[in-house]
Amino acid sequence: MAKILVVDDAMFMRSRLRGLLESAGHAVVEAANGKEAVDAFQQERPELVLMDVTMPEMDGLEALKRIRQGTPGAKVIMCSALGQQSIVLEAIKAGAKDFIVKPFRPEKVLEAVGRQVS
Amino acid sequence: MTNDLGWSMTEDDRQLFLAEADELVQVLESGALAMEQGGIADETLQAMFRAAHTLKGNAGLIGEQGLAEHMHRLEAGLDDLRSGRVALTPAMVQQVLSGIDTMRDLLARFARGESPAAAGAPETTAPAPAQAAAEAAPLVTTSVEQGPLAGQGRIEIRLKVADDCPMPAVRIFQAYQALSRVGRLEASEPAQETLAQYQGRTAKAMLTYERAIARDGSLAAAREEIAASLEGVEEITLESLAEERMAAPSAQQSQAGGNGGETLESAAAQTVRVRVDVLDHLMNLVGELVLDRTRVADLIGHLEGHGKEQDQEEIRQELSRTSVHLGRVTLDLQETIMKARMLPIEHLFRRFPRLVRDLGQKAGKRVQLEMSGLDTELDRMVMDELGDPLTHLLRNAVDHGVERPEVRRAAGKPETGKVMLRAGTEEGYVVIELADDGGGIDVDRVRQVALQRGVITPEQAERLTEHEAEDLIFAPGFSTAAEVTEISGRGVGLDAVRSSLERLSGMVEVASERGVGTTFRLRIPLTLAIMRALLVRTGEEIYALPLGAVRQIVKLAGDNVQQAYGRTLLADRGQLIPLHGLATLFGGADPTDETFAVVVGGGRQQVALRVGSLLGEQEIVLKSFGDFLGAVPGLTGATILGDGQLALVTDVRFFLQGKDAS
Repeated sequence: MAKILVVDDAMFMRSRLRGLLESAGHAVVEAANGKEAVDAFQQERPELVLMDVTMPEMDGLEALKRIRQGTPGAKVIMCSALGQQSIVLEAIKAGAKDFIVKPFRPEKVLEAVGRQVS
Repeated sequence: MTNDLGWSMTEDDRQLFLAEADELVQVLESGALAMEQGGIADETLQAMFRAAHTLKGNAGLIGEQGLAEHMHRLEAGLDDLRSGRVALTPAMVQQVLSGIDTMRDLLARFARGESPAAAGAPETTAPAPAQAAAEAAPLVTTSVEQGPLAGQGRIEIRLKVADDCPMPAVRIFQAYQALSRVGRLEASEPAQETLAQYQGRTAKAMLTYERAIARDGSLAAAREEIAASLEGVEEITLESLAEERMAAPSAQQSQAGGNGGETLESAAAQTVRVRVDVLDHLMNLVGELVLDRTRVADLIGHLEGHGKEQDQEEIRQELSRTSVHLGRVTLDLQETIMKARMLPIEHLFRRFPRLVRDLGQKAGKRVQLEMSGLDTELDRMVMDELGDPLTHLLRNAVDHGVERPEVRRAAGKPETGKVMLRAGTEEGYVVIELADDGGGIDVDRVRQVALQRGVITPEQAERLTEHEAEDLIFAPGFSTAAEVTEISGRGVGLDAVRSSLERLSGMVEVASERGVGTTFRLRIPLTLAIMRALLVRTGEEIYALPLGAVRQIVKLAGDNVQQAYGRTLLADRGQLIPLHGLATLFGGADPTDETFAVVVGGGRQQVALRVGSLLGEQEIVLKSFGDFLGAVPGLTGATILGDGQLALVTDVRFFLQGKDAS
């Protein structure tokens, strides 16, 4: 259905999300940090990005800004932990479409994804 | 304090509202005056429309429905004009101006703490010209069938975030974003900037609908659209949606008088906008002061505790370094704070075009005001003090300066007279020139009138030069107007202008040429509290002479001091200047061995003061004598010098008012 870039430094998290999204019929590509995410976005041109906030090399907020700088229409959903409200707010201001909060329930993830991709 | 809508409002909010309202009213007024000058640019009309719109929104937000309604009518009228539904006529311009006056009146009430809304319809101070009323298109009136357009007003939206939704503030922000896409988000609670700290789950937003949506839209339609806009935002619900109440306006209410004089200045004067980087700089400087304080405390500790002999020199050096640093920081602090008090003179000048227009109309003259140097900066306090004298001089220029159209035509001048108001800086002083191209001062009549009124004696009248005669117009009780006119003849003459300027340690001079015009030149220190002064010693005392008044310093030799008419005169380059001993003017014994004369005064009015020695020039902080001593003739106050000595600050005007040396 849609190509989705999953960005998280935790491999476990990536694989859980990949499983969930693939079962819903989406194609998934992965990146392990913000820097990789920016490169992967350029190469893969996904329809949607699920972006973790806290990552090594380059954090999610910075990656979001760079991706949106190169592609102003890019759709990004932030995946954050509790207590990161101000960063998430910052991300929304920077153009993130939505956010989900860990620990997330599968249906929440699919709902959020569903609102962004047809 | 909380208003009807539940938006809390502090005194700061009130001041901010007033300051912004003042600016917006100025936009409207200068636009209306531009209309009158013939032709109106589209951008001007757009700017006026936006100003009315914003003012309406702001007024609504603070719960002042009277103001909001008034602006609503003005906005609607401007919209009709903008869309070409009605054409521009002079009567309509008058109506717009009357509408602006009513607005000012309402704002002034609000500024005084009266609620214009509670007061009901504003009193009409003067009826609009009958002719205007007869032909007037409904520019500021809103007829009953037009009404305030349903849904066009502002809508209050209450939002609630689901209890189990994490990061409610982000959801609220998303909702604000969504709302901004369908209308204009006027205000919100919590405000967008404070959302990051917000922990609550409810929010309130005030949305203005665009007219296009509103025209045929009802509240139900608005609700649908707003609800739809929020659909993309998860876990947020629209709790309530209410149209802000707008009472039906009464058509009579809009007729208001031409009262351009009253402005919000007095209320808004308390507010100064300071740039954030200036505040940051001030904060840094304070930080450095704290550092210095710590260093000094340390040094005292050293001296008290372990005052070893060999440390003394080190401590002295450190103290000296700290002192230098302290001096640098306090100087910077002083300059920065002074800068923060400065405002462009436009704040003062911007009310004058309307004033001149109204004065011209009343006097049956055509006058055009040209202003320049609007970005000249001046201390806020000084600016407040300048309002009255400048208004007086403008009245004077229109009333006595510029001639009637038929007189001008006969003299071969354009029928429309010109008044020019120019501002600029000159060696730490602001210079304002007010020039008209009128008939100039009739020196012979001035002489004659001054004699009649006993301002001068016949002998004096004979001795007066042209310039000295011109200067008589500033004498108390002098007025050349053949009859007292409504505009400037209220028994107050130009002497009031001169004394206002004196209070500011400033000066006013006049220069005139028959048939060509008159120019008033005002010289005002940039700020009241700090001035540059020349310090001189005479006898035991030190005096500070404001540097702005010092013309030159002359070394006294035998051949440049002369006696004539029983007076001592200083001969300088062919000029004879009255010479007085500075000490004797204040009743002291006259030291005879003094060798310098300081020439003070403005332009042609000069006096030389004999002093013992020159101590140099320096920036001084003026302290008034306070209630204890009261006003001392010839002195404006005192100042403490760096070494703790007292210097008396002289008021140069005192010497120029013809105090004869005994």
